[in-house]
Amino acid sequence: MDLLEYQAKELFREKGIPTLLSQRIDQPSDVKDLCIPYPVVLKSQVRAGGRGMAGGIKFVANTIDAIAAASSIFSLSIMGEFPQVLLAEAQYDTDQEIYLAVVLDYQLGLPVLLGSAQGGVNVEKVVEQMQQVIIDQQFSSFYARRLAIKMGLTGQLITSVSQLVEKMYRLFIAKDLELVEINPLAVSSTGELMALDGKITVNDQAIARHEDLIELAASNLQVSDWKLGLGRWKILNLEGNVAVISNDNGLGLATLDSLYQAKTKPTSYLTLTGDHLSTHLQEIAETLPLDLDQVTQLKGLEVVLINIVGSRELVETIQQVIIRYLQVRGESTTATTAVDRTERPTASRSVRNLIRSKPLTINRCPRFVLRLVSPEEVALPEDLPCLPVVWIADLATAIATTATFTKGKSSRMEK
Amino acid sequence: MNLTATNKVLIQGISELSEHNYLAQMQAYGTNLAAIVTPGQGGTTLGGVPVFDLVEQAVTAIHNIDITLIFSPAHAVLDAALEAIDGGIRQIIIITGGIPPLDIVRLLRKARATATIVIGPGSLGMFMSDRLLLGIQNPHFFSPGGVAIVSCSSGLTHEIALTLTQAGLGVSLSLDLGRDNILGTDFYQCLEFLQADPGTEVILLLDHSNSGNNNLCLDSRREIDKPIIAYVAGHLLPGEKQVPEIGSLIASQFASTVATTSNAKLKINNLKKAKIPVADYPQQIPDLIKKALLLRKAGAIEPTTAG
Repeated sequence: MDLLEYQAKELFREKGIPTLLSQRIDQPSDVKDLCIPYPVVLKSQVRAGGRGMAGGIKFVANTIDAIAAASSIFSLSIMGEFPQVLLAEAQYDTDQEIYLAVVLDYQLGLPVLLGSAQGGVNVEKVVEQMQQVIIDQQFSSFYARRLAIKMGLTGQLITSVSQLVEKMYRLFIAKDLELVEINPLAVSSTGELMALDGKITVNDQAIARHEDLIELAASNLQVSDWKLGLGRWKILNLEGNVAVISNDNGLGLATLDSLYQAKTKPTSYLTLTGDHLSTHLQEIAETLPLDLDQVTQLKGLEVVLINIVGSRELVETIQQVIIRYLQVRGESTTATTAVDRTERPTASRSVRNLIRSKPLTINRCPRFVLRLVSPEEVALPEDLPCLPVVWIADLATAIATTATFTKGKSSRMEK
Repeated sequence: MNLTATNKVLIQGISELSEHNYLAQMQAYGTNLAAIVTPGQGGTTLGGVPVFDLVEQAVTAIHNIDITLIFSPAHAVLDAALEAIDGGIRQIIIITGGIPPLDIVRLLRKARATATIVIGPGSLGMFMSDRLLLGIQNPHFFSPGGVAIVSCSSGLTHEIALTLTQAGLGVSLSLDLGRDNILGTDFYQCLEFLQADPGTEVILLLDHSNSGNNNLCLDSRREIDKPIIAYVAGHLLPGEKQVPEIGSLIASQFASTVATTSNAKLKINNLKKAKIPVADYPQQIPDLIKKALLLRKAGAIEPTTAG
């Protein structure tokens, strides 16, 4: 998860990385109470890059200008994201701009220091001069000095920049980050350093042990991927007609390979994740109906193929969820009732409620092909009303059935 | 790697009642559970196995522990593994998945320095038909035979095991390398072990296009004379449009900042370079295996060298 600039700078300050005097603005009228002397920079707090070009950064010289500028930035969406917050900052005169970053390289499985003596918005220039130092042993200050020297820094800057890199590295380790980036790092005429803009990416797996980051995450969650409308689904081809759900990355991909082999047209797929030690059954029961609501919005969808190889509990849960879902959605074409009434106290609830309460129109309920395998037999439900669902024991037959269902449709269309 | 039925096994971090079933299941397969470490419960027993507060105490009371299985919660795995290494244990299977990446970076650095084998994180462990169960693989999905499955996707392993059973084939062992993005052991590193395993006639590698990184992939056979077959799930998918992660565009040009950098096409090219037959889809695997076994019987397989 990416933190917003003002959040990143709070962490910078904690670690003694110099940042400008700044103030958080929640609404345009807040700028009346600025504690920073004019002239001031107002910056839109969105995650997307290129804010300056898009008009999300404005320089203002007095309160009247500032209120007008703040209103316009609040109403400007940058790559689909409206800012919830602006950051007001003092201006700073720079002599030189530098790029610095600490990242985790997944290929190497090691942290890497990055630095370019040419920082700023001109990416090509930054990239041209980029230098790299891999932290292949226990970190020590010399790694940071090595970077400063490779960057071609001289004199006092070697020490001051490498000390700053070390602080970035300590922050990176202390908060389990994926990325700490300062661009630009300003160097003043007196050699003073100042982090003018910063980016921090938090590792989602580690966030649970950092209470301060959990709070930040909760406030950022509302702008998360739900807005895309297809949530957790991975899209393959919007023209396709088969959606796949499985409980494992590799299993889902193998199912898709088989579908392609059988000349069907998969549209999207979803992997129900969960640690194999404690599959989050409750969570699956809550979110699966929403996932299904999302995917059934796809116009051409003909078949939902569900391929689960897992514990008896998982198979039972999924079977129940599907039947309950079809009992509500399968008959009617327009439904406003919520499929799932379980409340869950998370920050994203407002978003979930939004999805739930939206009147849903299913053009035509797709057919469900269920292939659910567990070590112990799971009984099929006794009295099934005529729901559009078939149970199939082995994958090859499930694929063939899916292919028949979809081909039936296309041949009808040809006539 | 030395995983045999005579291994003395330590268990770290078993706490929930549901996990106790795994102990009973392992014991049913003859696994030699020698000790359990659960802080605060030292001096008791669980399923007849003595419980200790510290690894230090366990290795003092029970000598020559060969391997530890770590079930601790994700944030506590690094500590448990370091404690095991400190106690002189040189083989670790991490069952828990979703370990913070910087923890695994630190652990693997320590493991290299101490010549410790780490399997996982996010591994179901190893199952040897009728001989050994190390971890939480579900024996129900397997029937005995000569195919060794090495995989980084437990769901795929189970699926293929069922496919093999249907085709009249069976499994000598199933080794799960784990589902996390940075793993302790890759395919290449376990080949020697599979070569030495007497029950294994043919090796099946299962990978997928969303797995951690390309380090898993294999571009040589090492000095292995057993046939190797591979399948990389997801290779028939159209070139997925990467949803642009915002992260840092600049940094991502110089470091693999995205957790899953793997590329099915690249992996398959490497496998083919190593003359390893690659299945296009799951149902093809049994045929490839049968063909490889026939060739082997006919003595047609040429011994290849590492390249």
